[in-house]
Amino acid sequence: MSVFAQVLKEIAHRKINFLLALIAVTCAVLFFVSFYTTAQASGRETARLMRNLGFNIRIVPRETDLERFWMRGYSTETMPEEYVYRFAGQEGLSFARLTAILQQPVEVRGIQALLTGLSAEVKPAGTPPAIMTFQIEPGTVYAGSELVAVLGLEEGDELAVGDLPFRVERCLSESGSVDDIRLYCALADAQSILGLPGRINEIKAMDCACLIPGGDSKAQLESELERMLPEGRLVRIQNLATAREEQRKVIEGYVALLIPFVVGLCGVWIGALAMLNVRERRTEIGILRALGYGGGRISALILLKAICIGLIGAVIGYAIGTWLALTQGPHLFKLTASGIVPIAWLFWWTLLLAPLFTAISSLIPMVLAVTEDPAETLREN
Amino acid sequence: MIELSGVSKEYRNGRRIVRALDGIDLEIPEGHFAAIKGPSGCGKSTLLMIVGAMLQPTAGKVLVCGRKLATLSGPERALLRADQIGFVFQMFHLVPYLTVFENVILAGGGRGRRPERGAVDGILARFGLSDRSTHLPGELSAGERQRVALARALVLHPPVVLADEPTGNLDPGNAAEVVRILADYRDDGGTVMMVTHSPVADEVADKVVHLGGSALVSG
Repeated sequence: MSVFAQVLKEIAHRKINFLLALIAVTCAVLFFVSFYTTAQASGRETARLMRNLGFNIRIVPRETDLERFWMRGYSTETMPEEYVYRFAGQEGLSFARLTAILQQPVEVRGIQALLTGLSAEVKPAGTPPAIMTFQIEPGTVYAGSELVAVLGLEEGDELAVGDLPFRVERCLSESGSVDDIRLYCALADAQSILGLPGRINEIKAMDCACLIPGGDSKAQLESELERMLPEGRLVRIQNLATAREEQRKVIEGYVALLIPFVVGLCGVWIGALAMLNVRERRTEIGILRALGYGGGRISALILLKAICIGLIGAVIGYAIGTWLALTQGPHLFKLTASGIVPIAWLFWWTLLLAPLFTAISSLIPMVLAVTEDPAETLREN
Repeated sequence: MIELSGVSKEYRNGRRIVRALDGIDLEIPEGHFAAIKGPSGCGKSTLLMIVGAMLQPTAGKVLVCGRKLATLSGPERALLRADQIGFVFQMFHLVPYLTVFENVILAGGGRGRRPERGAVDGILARFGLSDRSTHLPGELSAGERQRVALARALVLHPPVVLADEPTGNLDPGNAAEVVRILADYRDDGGTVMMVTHSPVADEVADKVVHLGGSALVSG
């Protein structure tokens, strides 16, 4: 009789034992898979929430008087628009999502508005592709809530700014900040209205925390700016930057602590079950040894069963774990719900590691079984 | 066929040393039936396990089928058990998830000699188990289980059969049947060493050995 046939017969005979072991492995795998999948989602959700706090870096012309900058909310100095394109495609930068801005007050139908022209995002190499700023078509504007209320604007309305006609593309909801009196438009339109072609007065960005290995991240940013754009000056909104960094560390620390804990716990669980199974089979092992079967055949019987349980448990556990993550994850992580997808490489690793775990967990009881004196085993039973 | 000289066996029980066998000298020639008797705890089963190469004596020399057990490695002892020795136990010790047929075909330890299908069918028929060949041990009576264990022990015609109280869990009728089968095996040239309390064995044994207090009393 082949080892595999004997393993199948033993499984069929001890169905409850097999089912319990399978449930244990399945639970361990599904717990790990669902936890890992949702941990990834949690990381993305946190990143998105932090990102939604807004830009935390402002680069203004070096000669900007910061006292006046903070009083007005914008720099009165300007710099060439092309400065922002120096960052495009550059590798190893700690800056992400750079947007060139030209903002100055203008009068619209007798009301003061802060005209804000936005360029498309400039992307250094290795930074995420998601877009943070409005992508505003030339000839259109997005109006802040206060302007909408005072001017009685509706989406689709015509609105003249300076000498140029615009269509109101979006009426923004109240933000409780200076953004409520902003009139967003394409950078080229703002340059045209303000008579400042090719000029900007600010570059907004986010620090890409993932690229900063630690230590003084502001010093790192300033050092990079000095290299890339010596004509600029860095202003960092400290509370946002700190919140981002701290939150990222919390999430990374949480995952780094829990994943080994979960894996270790599952390993111990599977090992304990393997031990119990081998103890239950001591008499059978004693019989086989008395009949002259060697350690190889007996080891194969134990290991093959462990591997079978590991393989089946991996497949079922991955399927249920992924299903749980896909169905429950979106309730927890609403912003990044669409990003919760089955992780294919996790399946292959699970398929490799679960049988490996069950086999390793069976090693100690297996060694005990094949080295134990069969006379003692048979005498006890 | 079986020779023991000065065989002792000690077990360590915590700090205490328990002497199970003390200087046993015994010879069982080929084709003989030896009944090993004595009170519980006198070392009968220990003696059988030592002859069956499943226990190492603390001292003394053991020869089985011309092989000196002390010189054999673990795999060599396993091979000796597979090729030369058939075991029968009081608790039957059948593999619970294998059918009667599959239990019998396990004989030989998966090495060298393997029972032929015809030989298994033949011995099952001889022991009145043909209609039980697809049954699991749990579906059999005690007597039937012991006959299956005997079939497994004898199917490869090993030169030596060691039986550890094979009648201990059987009614008198089945006990007598088991002893008869072992006696028939002896008559066919096999050597049988049987630990027993049963007086039935005395009638067929060529030699009755009495152990008492870990030492040979008579035999």
